[in-house]
Amino acid sequence: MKYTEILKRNKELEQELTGEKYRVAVISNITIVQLKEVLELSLREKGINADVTLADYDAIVQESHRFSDFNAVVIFWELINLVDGFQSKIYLMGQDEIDRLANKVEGEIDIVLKNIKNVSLVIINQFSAALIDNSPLKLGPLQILGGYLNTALRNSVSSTQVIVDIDSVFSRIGINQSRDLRHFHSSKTLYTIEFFRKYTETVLPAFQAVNGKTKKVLVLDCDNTLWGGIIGEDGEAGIQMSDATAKGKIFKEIQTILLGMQKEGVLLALCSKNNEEDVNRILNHHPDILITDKHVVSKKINWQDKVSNIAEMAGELNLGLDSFVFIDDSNFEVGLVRQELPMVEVVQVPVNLSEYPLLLKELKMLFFSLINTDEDKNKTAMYLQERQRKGQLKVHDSIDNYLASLGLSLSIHWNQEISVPRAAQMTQKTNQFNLTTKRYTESDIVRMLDDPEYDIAIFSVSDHFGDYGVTGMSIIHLKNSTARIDSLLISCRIIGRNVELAFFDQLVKMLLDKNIKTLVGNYISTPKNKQVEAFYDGLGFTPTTSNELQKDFTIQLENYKMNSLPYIKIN
Amino acid sequence: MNEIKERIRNVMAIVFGIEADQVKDNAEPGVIESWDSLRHMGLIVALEEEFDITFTDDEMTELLNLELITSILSDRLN
Repeated sequence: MKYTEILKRNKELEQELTGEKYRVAVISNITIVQLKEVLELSLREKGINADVTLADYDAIVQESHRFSDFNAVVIFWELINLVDGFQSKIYLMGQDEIDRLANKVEGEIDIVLKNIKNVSLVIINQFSAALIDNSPLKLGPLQILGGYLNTALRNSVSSTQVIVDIDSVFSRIGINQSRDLRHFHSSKTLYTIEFFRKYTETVLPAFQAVNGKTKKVLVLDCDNTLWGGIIGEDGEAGIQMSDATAKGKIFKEIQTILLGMQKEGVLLALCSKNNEEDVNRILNHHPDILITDKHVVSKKINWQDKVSNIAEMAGELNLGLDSFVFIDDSNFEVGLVRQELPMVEVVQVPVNLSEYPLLLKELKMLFFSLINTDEDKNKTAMYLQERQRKGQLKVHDSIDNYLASLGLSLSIHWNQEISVPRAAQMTQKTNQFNLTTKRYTESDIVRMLDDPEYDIAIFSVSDHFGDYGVTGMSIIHLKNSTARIDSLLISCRIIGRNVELAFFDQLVKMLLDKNIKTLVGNYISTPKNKQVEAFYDGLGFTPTTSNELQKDFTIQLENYKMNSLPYIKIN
Repeated sequence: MNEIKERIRNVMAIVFGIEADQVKDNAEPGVIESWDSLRHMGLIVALEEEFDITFTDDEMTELLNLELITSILSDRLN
């Protein structure tokens, strides 16, 4: 955002925000200019009605007293301006002289921090010589003095006084992008606007923490987010989270980082489209899993949409949705939650998994808390005790809106030789959305293609995120005026987009053209296909026979009610 | 030249918190009340972003009023 845009937007937000001002003072021994607007805007965008005052230049000790009743104080105490021209003069000074100066500043640090001891948030930068004086092979006197003063600083701060490792801010954008010395000699300015932006981004979590706007809950998907692989497809043995594979090592580190976060008070939750028993078995019995039930405050393992699940979690934990962070590997889930729950911070697992651990580590800042008490550490236990169910949020209308925004398109191909290998493969591999889980070989499929009593459909799906390729298939057995659905399955990659309903409409149209009157559906229960148990009920079929292992359903096609989903284009 | 001057006028209006038509041709620190030394530094950042340039030390000392800023920027951009 350009500086003029910051000024404009900042002014608009000043008009919009009401209520008591959150008063922030910036005290410094250099001239700070653009930080006022950059910091104000960032805080106002988070709903904090901030008003930033820049204190008089180079009067840190006196000014600290003036702001003792402010909500927050930010201190830029620059090593290089402890004395005018210090960055070069220090080389001429004797050790005695430097020691005297060090003692004086050390005393001043103490006075300043005492003056503002009742301010609920103090942010003070570490002393750094990095912008002006870098001698990596031999520490210069400025760096040695900085190190000494930083020790003094760390010994003086209280728990509400935060020390910023400003060198890490410089390293993020580079020294040259951080400093602008054109007004340094005339007006003692030092920093670029890029620096102020990065600096503000860095300190923002501290402001959010004291304003009760920090993140508290980290909601994780399971497959390819908490562990490598898809339990419904790869099975328990195919899940990777150990040193046995490179991918497994990454997920082992992910879980290690998560455990560390949980220890520091972050609440972990799971939200996964899976069979609950499958996930629970992994959480409780898998030899490689580090995150177990006792580390998790809420679990939503079901086939419901994730928006409803996260909203329910918020209700149960009694926390605002704005305290949630959600991580998933799927474009679809990430897009859905981002659109429907904009207050939730949504993060996608990176395509390059090697970047995943660092990304997760950086998320830690969102959960920044000024104080790490024992209570923080026991938070998970506390929430586990208070876990309770609250009302559900009805989001189905808006999920239709979301699906409409995806630009879904479905292509169906009947009886094509070319699709034999893929069709056979899908019957072998698909476990979750699979009504009968009948496994066929390529020669089985070829035989059925040659048999006029069989029709085989394969279908492919695409949306704005990309082309998912062939992701579903069905085998229909025709006899006289009755058709029986021998197989119907879709890949877990496209579950939740209602493409099966759009496919079913097309199937029924095709059967009606062939003068079929009755359609029979069949559900064969497996440990992994619970989610489709009620599929035919939902389409208006009548259950006929059933036992523990399977159920038959039937419908007269004249009674079939088309789903006619407007948001799925049929090719 | 005129188009450049108009863009400068708009930037000044935002930085100094006034309307663009209040930035007259004689605009300078004494004339525009809010044009103090701090806002002047903000103005430089805003102009550099607007015109995607970086002023040299020498140019900086000459950015004293609207006329001079317009002429320096016109030289730089041509």
